[in-house]
Amino acid sequence: MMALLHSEWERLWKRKIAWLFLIAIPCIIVATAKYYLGHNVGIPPGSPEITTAENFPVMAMIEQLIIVFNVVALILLTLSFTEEYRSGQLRMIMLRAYSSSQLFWAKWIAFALMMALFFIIYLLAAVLAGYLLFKSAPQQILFYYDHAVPNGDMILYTLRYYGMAYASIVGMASVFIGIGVISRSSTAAIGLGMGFLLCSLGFPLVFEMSNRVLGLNLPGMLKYLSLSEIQFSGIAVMMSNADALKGVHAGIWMICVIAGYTAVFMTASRLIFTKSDRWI
Amino acid sequence: MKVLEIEHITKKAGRRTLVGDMSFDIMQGDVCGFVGPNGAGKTTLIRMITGLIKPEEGCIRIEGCDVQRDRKKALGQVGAIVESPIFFPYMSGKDNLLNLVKLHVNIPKGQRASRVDEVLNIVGLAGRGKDKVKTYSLGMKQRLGIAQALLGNPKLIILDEPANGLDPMGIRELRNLILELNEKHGITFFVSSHLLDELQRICSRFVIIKEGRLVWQGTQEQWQEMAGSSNLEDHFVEMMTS
Repeated sequence: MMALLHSEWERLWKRKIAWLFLIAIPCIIVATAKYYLGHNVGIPPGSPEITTAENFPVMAMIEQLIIVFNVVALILLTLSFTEEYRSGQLRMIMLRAYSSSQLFWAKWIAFALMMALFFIIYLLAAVLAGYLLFKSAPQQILFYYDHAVPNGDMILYTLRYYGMAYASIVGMASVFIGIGVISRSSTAAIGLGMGFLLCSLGFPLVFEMSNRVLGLNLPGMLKYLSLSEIQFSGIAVMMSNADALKGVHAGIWMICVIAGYTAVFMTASRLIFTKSDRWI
Repeated sequence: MKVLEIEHITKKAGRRTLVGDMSFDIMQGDVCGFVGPNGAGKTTLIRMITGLIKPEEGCIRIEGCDVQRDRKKALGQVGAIVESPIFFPYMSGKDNLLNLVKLHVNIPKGQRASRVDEVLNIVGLAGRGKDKVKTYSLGMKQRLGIAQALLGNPKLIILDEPANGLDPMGIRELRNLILELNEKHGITFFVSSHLLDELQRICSRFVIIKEGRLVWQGTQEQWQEMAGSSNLEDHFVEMMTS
């Protein structure tokens, strides 16, 4: 199994997209920093929207998680699952003495490890850029927090934020794998993946509008059935210590949503990937 | 000694029988031609032998190991090209092989690179190993396909229409390579092809199928005797049309 994982890992790194994204990380960080430096000008002091050296890694993740990380995950998974399968390239691997289940997990683990590496490099680059480009503050004002937090707690907050962001990418990737294994071409997989992402982005708007207009009075937490909404505001909500949010069990709800997506889509994808005959 | 045993294999697609109750054996050292018209079920059977698809009924054994029940041991003995050899085009020929050689547990880590160089030498691609596969001609891809099939020191190599798209020079190179590997390394070959003339030059045995069913099997001499001529094409056409 380790040999198979090594083989998958090596092939992912032979892809230009992997290296392009790695090289692009410092550029993305600098572009994000420039945006927040401009944004800081019009923000009143005491607002959680003010970017500081300490909170820049979190702000940089909020800004790029939905678009950049999701799209990179979609492209990598499409290349790894759909492209290799549908073009017949995977036949060379499938002819070896490994089961398709082992192959499925090796692909998944190789992707998860690569994304973890991207997250770590992104965090390190953001920490460095934060201290180089932003002013330091003695304590941090966070979204959905009733009081400011000391910088020591901010480090823990940042690590937890990145951990949850990574978990949300795992959930999103499960959907993309599901799409990847049923798509007949890479173009279809990318198109359907982008479609899912757009639906996920649109769902909270539709939900809130229908809740308001139709007077459905559904719990507001239901908007976090959308993975991209979890990525946009949910992670900050689940890590909140605000009294107003204490009774809603946001953290448990959103972890269940992510786990639900992961369990359903990974189970279905694995079944499709392993049970069907491979006419490639 | 039997290298490949096909026992009562049946594969269906809906109501249509792609391969029906097929049985035959391939002995060690054979170069066996697998002949049949388009749609006869040759590639379907090869897919079942290589574990890509599962038969509804029957059993396939390689060196005595059941492909379904003991996949690891069974497929560890086989090298194959199913249909056209498709590699990872963004990698060089050598990198493709280095990536695939990791999947052979019988080759120690320290010997992987030398094994790759060895098979590249055998197929005559040592000079082009560092070039990207997307720059290879079809003939070179076929040779690289045989190189990947050789990686794990297989007892049996299965080639599905290996001459497809090759020019006469490429076909001659491939023929010489198969004969050399059979004679020098004792590798058993199971080769499907439409090119009967070409198979006649390399095969000691033949398995002939039609509409998913075994029509005849035996040695080339037996076939020539049955046909009453060394030209087997007319007899093959007769068998397929009768």
